[in-house]
Amino acid sequence: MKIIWGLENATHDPRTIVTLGSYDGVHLGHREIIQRLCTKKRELGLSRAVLLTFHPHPQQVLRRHNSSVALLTTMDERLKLLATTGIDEVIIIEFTEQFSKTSYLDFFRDTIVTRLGTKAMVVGFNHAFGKDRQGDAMRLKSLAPQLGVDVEEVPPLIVDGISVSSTKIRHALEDGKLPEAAGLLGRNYSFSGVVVRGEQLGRTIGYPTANLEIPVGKLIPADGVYAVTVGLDGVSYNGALSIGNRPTVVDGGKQTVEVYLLDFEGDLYSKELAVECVAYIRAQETLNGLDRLKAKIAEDVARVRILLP
Amino acid sequence: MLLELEDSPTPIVAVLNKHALLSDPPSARAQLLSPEGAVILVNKPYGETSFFVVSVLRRLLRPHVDVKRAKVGHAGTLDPLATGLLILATRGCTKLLGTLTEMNKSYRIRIRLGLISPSYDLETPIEVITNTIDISREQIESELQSLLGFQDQMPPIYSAIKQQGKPVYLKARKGEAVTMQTRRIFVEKAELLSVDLPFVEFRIVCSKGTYVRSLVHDLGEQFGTGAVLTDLERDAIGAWRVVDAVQIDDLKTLLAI
Repeated sequence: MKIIWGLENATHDPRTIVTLGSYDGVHLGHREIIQRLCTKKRELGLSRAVLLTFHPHPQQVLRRHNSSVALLTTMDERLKLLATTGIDEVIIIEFTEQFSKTSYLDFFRDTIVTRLGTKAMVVGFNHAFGKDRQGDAMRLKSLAPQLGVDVEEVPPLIVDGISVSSTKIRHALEDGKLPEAAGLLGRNYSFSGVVVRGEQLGRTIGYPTANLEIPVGKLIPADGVYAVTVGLDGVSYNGALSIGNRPTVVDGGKQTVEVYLLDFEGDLYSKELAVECVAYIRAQETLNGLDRLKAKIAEDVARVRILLP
Repeated sequence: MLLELEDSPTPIVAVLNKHALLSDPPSARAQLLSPEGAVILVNKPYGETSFFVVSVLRRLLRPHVDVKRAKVGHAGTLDPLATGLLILATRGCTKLLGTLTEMNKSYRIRIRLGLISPSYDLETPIEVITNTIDISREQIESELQSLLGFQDQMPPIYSAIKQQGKPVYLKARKGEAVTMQTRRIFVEKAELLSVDLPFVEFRIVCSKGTYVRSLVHDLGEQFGTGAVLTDLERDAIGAWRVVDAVQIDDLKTLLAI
């Protein structure tokens, strides 16, 4: 899969089929659209399946002044996942406030059709682009004949009565509902983080934890304790992950993400850990003193050993 | 289900499987009796309640522990007519029963098509719906796949779910009307093992709270023939497998000394 950063580096190919969107999470609904894109490419005898996407995420640019949306995948993770789907080329367009003012008509006609050479498009049912999100499937379809483009809308993928969307997955993770999130994502939720220096309190009670710095904008699941697997230098360890503001040791502290690796000894500083959330063990609790905390962690670790033998 | 109260220390998890128990009985025994306790994988025999297995272990522990009533509990009840993996925990490790109960379960299931019964298995009188069953393997396969995913399941009225503090099967046995509420469950895997009509055998991996009997009943309705559960074995809970479980007699040998 070719990755093109910036529209100015994109090439023209008259046998191009395109889909566009942020594709955050590359979830089951996304995979369905991409599958249709690849099938249609073969049906129409086209040669290049392109995903047009944006960076940063449009909602992070447009909502800058209030709360910005937390993403299921960093651009890096998204590209790795997309590379397994059959897409030939991903073109990443820099999303700016200026760009957001482009009308859907201009973008469709000048960029998608003329610039890239697009002959067909596959779009998700709820996708819309251009200024004020006016470029929805219905408008594209009505424009399609005069521009000589075949536009197809893919209906929503329904899993267990729920239409799969990135928003629903985000909400499930923020509520600690891992099975629901995994059911819609098609895999366990995961994130990576670099180990930074913490207060080294854990080691004083026998449970040294690695404090993780999570990329800005990446979704951090609900506060609480999780059973996780941790990838480190190609080896997988089981771990107990704690997310929260550590109410037992500090008052009103900031949120930390820390993980205790089972059966591991060694220095983890500045290493990158890939964490996959397998099960939610419990919500965050305020305990009375370090001894209680230590006992609770022992119990959490025992639970991890039972969940992930 | 917890039998007795005991203020127990934090568990250091020791999972006693067949290998641990048979290869080093003294240390298995010490772990089981220690205040920290142990988790034990037991193969529940046919015809016994899950509670019976717990009470056997409790009786076996009693002469050996210094507390009056050592805690013993189990995770995930198996019907008397079911066999297979039952996970028990003693003393400190009973704290882990919640997590053990949360884990997905795997069952080997054998059903007979053409029959129905009020309890969806052989515990209550059966009624013959049809003797001619003409269903293809493909059809069975596709109905099994339709079980996958989340669903709101209606538990059987012959179940230990409590209403007004009493298990509903008491009402059902008296012939009183029972209104059940659905529960959200999910089926992770469904695998057809064999078809020998009117018998069908398959394996299901499902979430906690799933009633296999209800799955069987629903399948019977989808086939239009009815179906009852004839054999049920729990072959795994999470990653713990019945092949590694001990027999009740192994526990007796270990503790009756």
